[in-house]
Amino acid sequence: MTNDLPDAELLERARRGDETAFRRLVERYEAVVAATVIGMLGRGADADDVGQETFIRFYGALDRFREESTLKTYLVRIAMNLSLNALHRRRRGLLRFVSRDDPDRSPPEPAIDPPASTDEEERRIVVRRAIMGLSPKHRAVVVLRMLQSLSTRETAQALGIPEGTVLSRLSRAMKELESMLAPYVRDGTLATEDRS
Amino acid sequence: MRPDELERLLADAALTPAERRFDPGFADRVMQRAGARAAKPGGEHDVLSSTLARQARRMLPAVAAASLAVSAWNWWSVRDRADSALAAVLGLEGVSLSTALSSSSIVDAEELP
Repeated sequence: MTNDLPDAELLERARRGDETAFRRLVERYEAVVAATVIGMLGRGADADDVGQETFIRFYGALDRFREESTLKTYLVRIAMNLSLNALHRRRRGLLRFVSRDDPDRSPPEPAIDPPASTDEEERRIVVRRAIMGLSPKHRAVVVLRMLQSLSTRETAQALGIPEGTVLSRLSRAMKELESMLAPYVRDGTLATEDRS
Repeated sequence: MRPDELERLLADAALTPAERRFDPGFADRVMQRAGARAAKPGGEHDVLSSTLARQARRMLPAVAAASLAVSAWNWWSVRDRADSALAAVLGLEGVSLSTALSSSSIVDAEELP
């Protein structure tokens, strides 16, 4: 019954304590939040936890959400902030087990995909691993702008930074990705000829 | 690698619609957690503290403006009689023997012989 209601109506009902309306919003925006969180953290228990926490924070802020931004951008912003916090915690936790003799060594990121069974899957895994190798700030821009196809403006709103900063971070991130992927292009794992 | 080739590789690496999902039962887990948090006594405390913080943030500009106005008024009123700029802003007049013994400073005191 609530399936076809617009966001504004569901929000109003959720504010009045209608749990079904809030649940409908969770179901409607699960994909958006999942794309952000899994894009940033990879698939796993902490991604699920951050996804839940995103909606819990939103639930707590229902009265404050004034629809100045779209619900999508608002949820992406919460999800991104929580993902960055989780990355920070994960990094801090892993650093405890990394030798202090080698301060520049970065802790390994958890694997995000199973072994590839086709060339296409292998290409996808290589590119996703390269994205996971970016710094959190650069990764966030790539995930939102390139993988989720948010506009530069939406990306800026979601990250709380100016549009110019989005563009400069994106430019640096693309350069990094290019150099990370170059060996795979040379050995033929990533075919760059026009496949269309 | 050309920029458009890299963009295409990234587009191909985006999560598929099937991958843009948490584990089954995600909405149930969210609703359960939301219910548990609302039922927790600390939940009310969170609401109270966040409400107080929100109110404080809302009032901050007005309080800052009022403080500035009072400071400006103090400085304007006692700038000639204060020992320092800080004292003037705080509205503290400089005290000397003559000002202490002036008639305006002594109320209901008997006249000195």
